[in-house]
Amino acid sequence: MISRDPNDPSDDALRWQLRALRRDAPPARDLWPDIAARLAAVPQAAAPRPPRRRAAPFALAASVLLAVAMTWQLQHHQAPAAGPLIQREAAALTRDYTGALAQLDAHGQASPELAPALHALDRSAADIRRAIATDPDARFLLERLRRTYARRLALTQRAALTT
Amino acid sequence: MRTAFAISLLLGSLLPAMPALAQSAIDQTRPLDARGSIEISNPKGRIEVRGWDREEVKITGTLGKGVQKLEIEGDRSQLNVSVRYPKGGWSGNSSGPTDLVLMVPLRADLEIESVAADVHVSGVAAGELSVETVSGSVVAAAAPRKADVETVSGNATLTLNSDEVEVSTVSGTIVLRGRLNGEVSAETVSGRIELTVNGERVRELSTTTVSGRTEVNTALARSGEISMESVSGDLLLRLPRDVSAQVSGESFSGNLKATGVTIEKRRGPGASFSTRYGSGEGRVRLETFSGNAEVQVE
Repeated sequence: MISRDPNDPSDDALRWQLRALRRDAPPARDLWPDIAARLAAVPQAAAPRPPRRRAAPFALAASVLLAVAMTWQLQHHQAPAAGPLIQREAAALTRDYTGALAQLDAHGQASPELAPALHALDRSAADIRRAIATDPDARFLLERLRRTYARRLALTQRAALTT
Repeated sequence: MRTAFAISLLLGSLLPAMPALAQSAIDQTRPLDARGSIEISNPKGRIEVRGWDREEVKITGTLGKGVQKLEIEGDRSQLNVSVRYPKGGWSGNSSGPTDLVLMVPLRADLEIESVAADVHVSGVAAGELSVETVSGSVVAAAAPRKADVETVSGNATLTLNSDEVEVSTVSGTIVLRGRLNGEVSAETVSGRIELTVNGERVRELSTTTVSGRTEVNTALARSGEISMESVSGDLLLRLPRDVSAQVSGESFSGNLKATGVTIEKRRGPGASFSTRYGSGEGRVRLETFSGNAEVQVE
C-alpha cells in the first residue's frame, strides 16, 4: 500500500482522474427544460439516456441530481482534509448522495417491488465504503460506490413514480 | 319488497357486464413499417413479442381485471401499445395481470417497459431492442444490432446475436450468451453474471458487480479488451488457448489465479499479477477487493 502526499504532483493526476468519475446523467430534457438548461452549463461526461416519457416526480429527482452535481463541483475547490484522497472523495460522495436521497425518501415509502432492491443497494454501498476504508488506494471502488449511489437515486425516482 | 325487486332487477342487468370488467380478450391489428418502431408498456402480467414477416402488428392476449384500457396510438412508422390501469391501481389485489402477445415486423425497433410483467422476446432482428423491468424477468432469443436490458430484481436470460449489448440488474441474475463480437457490458450489484460468447471474438467486454459471482467464457478479438471488476464477488474468466493478450489481475484480500502464472504475495495486504498470453495484443484486467479472481486458458 502506498501512502500519498496530498502535495505530490502525482496526486494532481489522480485528482483529475477522480473528477472524470463524476458522471451523473441529466434528466429527460423535454420534461424539465429549466433544469436541463442549467445542467447544460455543468460539464457532463456521460451520454444521456434516451428520454422516456415520464411525469412530474422526475422534476424533484432532477433537482436532487443537479444539487449533487453542483455540490461536487463546489467541493472540489475546498481545502482538502486529512486522509487519503479516495477516502475523502468517498466520504464527500456519501454525504452528497445520502443528503439527496433523504430528500427523496421523505416523499414516500418505496413500493413492495422496489424496497428489497433499495435495501440491497444500501447494503452494497455500506460494503463498498468499508472496503474503501480498508484499501484506500483502490480507485475502482470509488467508481463502484458512485454507480451504486447513482442507481439508488434512480430507483428512488422510480419509487416516487409508483407510490 | 318493491325495493328488493328493484335491486334484483339492477343486479340482473349488471351481471352480464361483469366478465368484461374482470377480463377481456384482445384482438387488434395495426399496420407498421418493416423498420418502424414500437413501444410496449404493461406493468403487470406478461409481454410476449415475436417477429414475423409482415408489415403489421397483431396484438392478442387478455386484459386483466381492473384495467382501464388498452391504448394503441401512433402510425405505421411508430406505434405505442400501453396497458393503462387506474392511477396507482395496478399493484393491488383489485387488479389482475394482463397478458399481451404481439407479433411484430421482424426488423422493427422495440422498446418494452414493465414493472412486474415478465417479458419474452423471440425471433426479432431489430436495430434496437430495449427492455426495462423492475421485478419482471426478461427472456430473449433475438438478433438485434443493439440490445439494452435493464431490470431491478428480475432475472435476464438472453441469447443474442448482437454487435452491442448492455445488461444491468440490481439483484437479478444475468445469463447472456450468443454470437457477440462487439461491445458487451454486464452490470449487477448482488446478482450473478454468466456470460458466454459463442463462435465470435469479442472486441470490448466489461462486467462489474459488488457481491455477485461473475463467470465469462469468451475469445478475444485482436487488440480487444476485457475488464472485470468486483468488490466481494468471485471472478472467473475462461479464454481459449490461442488468446493473444496482456493479462493483469489485482485483489486486496482475494486469491488470484491464472494459468501458467505463479502469483507472488507482496508484502502487506494485496496481490497482483501481470502476464502475457500469445503475442499480447489484447488487454485483460481483473480487479477485486475481497473476491477471488481466476483466469483459465484452455
